[in-house]
Amino acid sequence: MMMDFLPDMGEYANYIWGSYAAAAIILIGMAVITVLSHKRKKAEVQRLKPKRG
Amino acid sequence: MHKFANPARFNRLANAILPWATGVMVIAFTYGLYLIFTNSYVDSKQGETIAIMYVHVPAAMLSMGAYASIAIASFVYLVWRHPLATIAGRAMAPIGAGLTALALITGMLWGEPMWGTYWVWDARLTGMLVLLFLYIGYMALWSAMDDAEKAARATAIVALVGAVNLPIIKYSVEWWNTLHQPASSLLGSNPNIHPDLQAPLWAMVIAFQAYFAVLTLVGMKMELNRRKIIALKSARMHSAGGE
Repeated sequence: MMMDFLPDMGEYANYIWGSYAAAAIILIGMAVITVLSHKRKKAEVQRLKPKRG
Repeated sequence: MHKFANPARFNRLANAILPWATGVMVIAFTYGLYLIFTNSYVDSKQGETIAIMYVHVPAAMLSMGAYASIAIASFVYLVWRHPLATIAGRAMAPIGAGLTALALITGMLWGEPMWGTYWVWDARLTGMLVLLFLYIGYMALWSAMDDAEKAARATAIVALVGAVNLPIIKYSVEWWNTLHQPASSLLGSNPNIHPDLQAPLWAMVIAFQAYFAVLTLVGMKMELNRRKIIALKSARMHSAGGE
């Protein structure tokens, strides 16, 4: 089903799909690392904040 | 400009921009990938490998754009001592490094079928490799220095000195005889890219820009929290010492 959707990239398909795989890994990887690190830091700030009352 | 030096004000602004930037990013990526995978355009010289352009060109553009932004932020810090400038620089560096690595990897994967080799030491490729090392050096310097003020000054100077590499990368294909092709124009009244290629390329360029904006804002919020953690820990230590 997926292969029906994806176009035939000819004899250089490995290079083309390799580029898209590298892009997906780097872009998604950086996004996940950034968001998770941000959430971790945010939680730590909440933990360290002096409790009122 | 200094009114945004207040972290609470910056966070409010970032929180307002983030959903819109994320929306633009998702729509542009979806539309761009749809056009790429449904467009049957095959270049007369490069065949189907022209599809690599849609990730290579936006990544290469942004790798230089991110470094230029870091250099501007460094200048703003050195001249006006704006505290958010260093935070922005520190947030942009890892994203710029990742995009430079992506531009190099996709360039190599495009180079092998077109040039018959993954790598040549021509001016454009070498300039991009130097850019990656500059990003790594910038990030390493931040991590190596404990004094935040000294680190901010040192990294700002490194970023400004390294900016000399940007015009070399940009004009290398005109100044020297390189294997890398000269720059193609997407802008102006007479773009020299085939009309079938322009819409997906524009969509991917916008998607990458929005991606960069989103990650920079999240990275800046994270850096503000990191500094807050250091301040809170220091306050705890002082209060524990005083008791």
